Amino acid sequence: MTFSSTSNLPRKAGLGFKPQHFDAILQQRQPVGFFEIHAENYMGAGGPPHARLSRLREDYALSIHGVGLSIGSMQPLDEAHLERLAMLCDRYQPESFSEHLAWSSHDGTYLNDLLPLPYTEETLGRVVEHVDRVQTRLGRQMLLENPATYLIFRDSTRSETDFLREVARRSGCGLLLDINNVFVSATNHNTDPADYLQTFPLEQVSEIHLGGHHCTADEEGAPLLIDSHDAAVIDPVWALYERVLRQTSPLPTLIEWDNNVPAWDVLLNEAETAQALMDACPRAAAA
Amino acid sequence: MTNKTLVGLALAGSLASAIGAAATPAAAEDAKEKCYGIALKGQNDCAAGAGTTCAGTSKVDYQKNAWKLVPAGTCETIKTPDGHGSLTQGPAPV
Amino acid sequence: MTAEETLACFAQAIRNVEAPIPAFVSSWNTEQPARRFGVYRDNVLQGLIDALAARYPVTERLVGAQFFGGMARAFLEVHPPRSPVLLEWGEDLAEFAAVFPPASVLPYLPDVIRLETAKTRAYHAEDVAPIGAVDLEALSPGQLADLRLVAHPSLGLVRSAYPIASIVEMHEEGKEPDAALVWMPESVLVTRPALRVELRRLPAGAAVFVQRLAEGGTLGEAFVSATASDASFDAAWTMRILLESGAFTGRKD
Repeated sequence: MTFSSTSNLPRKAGLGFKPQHFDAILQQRQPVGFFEIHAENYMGAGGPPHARLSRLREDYALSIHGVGLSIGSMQPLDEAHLERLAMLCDRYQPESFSEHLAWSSHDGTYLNDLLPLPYTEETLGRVVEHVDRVQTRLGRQMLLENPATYLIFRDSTRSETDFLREVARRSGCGLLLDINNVFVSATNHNTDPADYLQTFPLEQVSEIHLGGHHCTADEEGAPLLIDSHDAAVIDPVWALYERVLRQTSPLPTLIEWDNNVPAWDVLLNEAETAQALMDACPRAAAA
Repeated sequence: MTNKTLVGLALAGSLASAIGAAATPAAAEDAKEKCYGIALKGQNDCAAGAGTTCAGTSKVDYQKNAWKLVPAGTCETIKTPDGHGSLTQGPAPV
Repeated sequence: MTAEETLACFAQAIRNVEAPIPAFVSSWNTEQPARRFGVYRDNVLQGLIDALAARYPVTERLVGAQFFGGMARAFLEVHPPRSPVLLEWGEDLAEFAAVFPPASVLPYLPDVIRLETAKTRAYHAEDVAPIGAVDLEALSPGQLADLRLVAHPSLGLVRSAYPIASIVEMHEEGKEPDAALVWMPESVLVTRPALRVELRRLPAGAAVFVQRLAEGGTLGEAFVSATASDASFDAAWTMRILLESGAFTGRKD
């Protein structure tokens, strides 16, 4: 399947746009390749959110990242929500649209979290159908993100990387590789994040997410990491990022920091770190 | 003169004086400069999205005995006509 | 078990915190990953409470975070969000609070919630240019009396027996609520002519006038109702406020 529009963000570091940074951002041209927003926060009809985003859009590339479409649901997609996404994409013509391999609605009730699903032939078929529907309605390729998970389903018959590879192959979607999620999930499941990356279909990846997480423990005393987006990226995650970069050319890379949002400078510093790693990677120099 | 004519004249007179005194909302551009950058708290501007909460890190209070709840915020500071933080009488003091 | 049944069971166990952990989930080190499942429960519940608190910050400060959390949880059971657009969620909170027994000691609370609801609606309302004096000044008195206006998408009117505007204002950033509250009825006009949400207190007659107009009445009808309900109704002042606030967008034909 081919799309009139595929993800084409600049292969640079980008940041999540937070309204409290708006004034700081406008003061000068910022060294970021793009901004990313959560689609659902821009689904009001008008007002300051749209005024700010329109202004930002004049100067920067934009990634729209959905958090509520519930692609991993086994029930039909919420067509009304898909319409809202289509309107938003029409209005801002983003360079990329992405969503999650997760579900968040059931029987018409919205559960406001990215919930996990078993990886089986049955769920694979459903996810492919949903991704296909989204891409058809939006008239563009979407990216699907690997989730952070806290537990496993006994019924799963496929690995997550295998599942994602197959969704991408059958639907033609691209993938968004969240390296913090890889680290969080691998720690939570006592596996090696490097092994996960080894089997991840990196050739399908069009964007990378990096973020901070929170550390706690389960009742057995084993580490339990939570994808909280409330802190700086930790060194092991940077190391995994470098490892990925050695196998890919530079990729659009987003720093996610959604809670306890720091000052603009702090956020920018994270983006600069990511950019420096991209600039330093050997393939980047060759590209 | 009919009643409607009188009303019309009263409205026309009011409008004329209002137009003289009104600061039109076309101060819009100015308002734009001042407000666009401010993330107004309480406007749900930063509505959390799924998976972007740090709630998993906090202990949620799952106590279900909601009927035992007692308001304990700034309502205790605000003095009502009875001099208490809350109005126990029910009917509105008009 | 189909995958749909699995997810239905998962959703059920998320919403009912007393339900056992579903047998189909596991972790590498335990058969009953209660704390891990609890992360999802916490995310869902606390995430929704936080979203409601973000929309109703004055209400939360008035009653305190603990009370607000309890009320939000009870609200959630009756009015869970039906869409992922959380900026629209909570429209029923005022009606809920009005019959939530622990909130009955604060009879002004539902009206404060209504005012916060109107503020958020106005904030996210469609951007439309308000009507200007130039649109009206050429009309004859007879045409004025028969005129119907289109409400601006941001228009809200909350009529209360309590000083709700004063209560909301004393909770603005940088202010501390104090006891110097003059306890009187306040009706509040909420509009957003440009990018700033504006609150204006309306005297009784002006509130009636705006309400009649918003309901589709003519200027003449609104004038008659306002004058009848409030002998001190000041039409000139009210017209000025309507023009300044951008409460209406144009003429209804």
